[in-house]
Amino acid sequence: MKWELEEQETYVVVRPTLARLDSAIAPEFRAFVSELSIEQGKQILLDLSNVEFMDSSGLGAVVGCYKLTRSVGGLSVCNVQQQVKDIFRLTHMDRIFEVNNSFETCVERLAA
Amino acid sequence: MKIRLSIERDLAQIENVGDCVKCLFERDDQPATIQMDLMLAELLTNIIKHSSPGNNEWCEFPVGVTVVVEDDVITLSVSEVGKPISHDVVRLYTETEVNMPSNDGAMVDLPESGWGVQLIKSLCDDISYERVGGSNVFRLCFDLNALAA
Repeated sequence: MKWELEEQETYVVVRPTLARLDSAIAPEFRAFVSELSIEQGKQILLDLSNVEFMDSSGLGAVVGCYKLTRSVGGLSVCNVQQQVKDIFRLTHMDRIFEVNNSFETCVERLAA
Repeated sequence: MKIRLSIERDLAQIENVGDCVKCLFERDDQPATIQMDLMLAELLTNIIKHSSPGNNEWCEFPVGVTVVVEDDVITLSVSEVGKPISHDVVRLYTETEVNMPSNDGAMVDLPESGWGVQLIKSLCDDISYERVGGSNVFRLCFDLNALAA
């Protein structure tokens, strides 16, 4: 299994189990989250605790999912590892995504 | 120190290059390892995705990767058999200015691509391209000491 799911009332947690979110897996990841978003119509919480490496293709997939899910509340990220934070920072995408949140912080916000 | 690798033109193979690099630098140089992994991933992805096929035979030629460490300077060379890369693309790699795609507009206009080359440029000290025989060769250099600073 490449990603785990936790379905909650108002949101769905997607947790990739792979250590890399890169060009080899990004299209599949994007398609999966898009389908999930359409099917569930809920916000997505992307738990990146297992992702140690992300390249620009992985980032593009996350941004694409963020845009696709905007009508249902969007997508937030949590448990972002240092290399992944660096990618968000270098591309200035840390202005769009809050990359320092824990899972608990995000869950509190989503449940509020 | 010098290592040479070759991989098939398959995006799934890029991770193997990263793993080899990690084995080499599994000491106190974790930032360098991560930096090399990212630069190689971006360059190899571009080469594998955008190489000009011309015909099906190009798929049979592996992509070569060489890593040289000399006086704390790391040089990564990536070579591939294929049509010459256009001047515009070469300029995109070699011009020094880094231009990340803008994210200042509306959410629908947020970029979903275009970061790869800019990331490479922002991470390395020097990047060059040359045509050697029938191959395209990119060389990326960066200084370990500058990275540590």
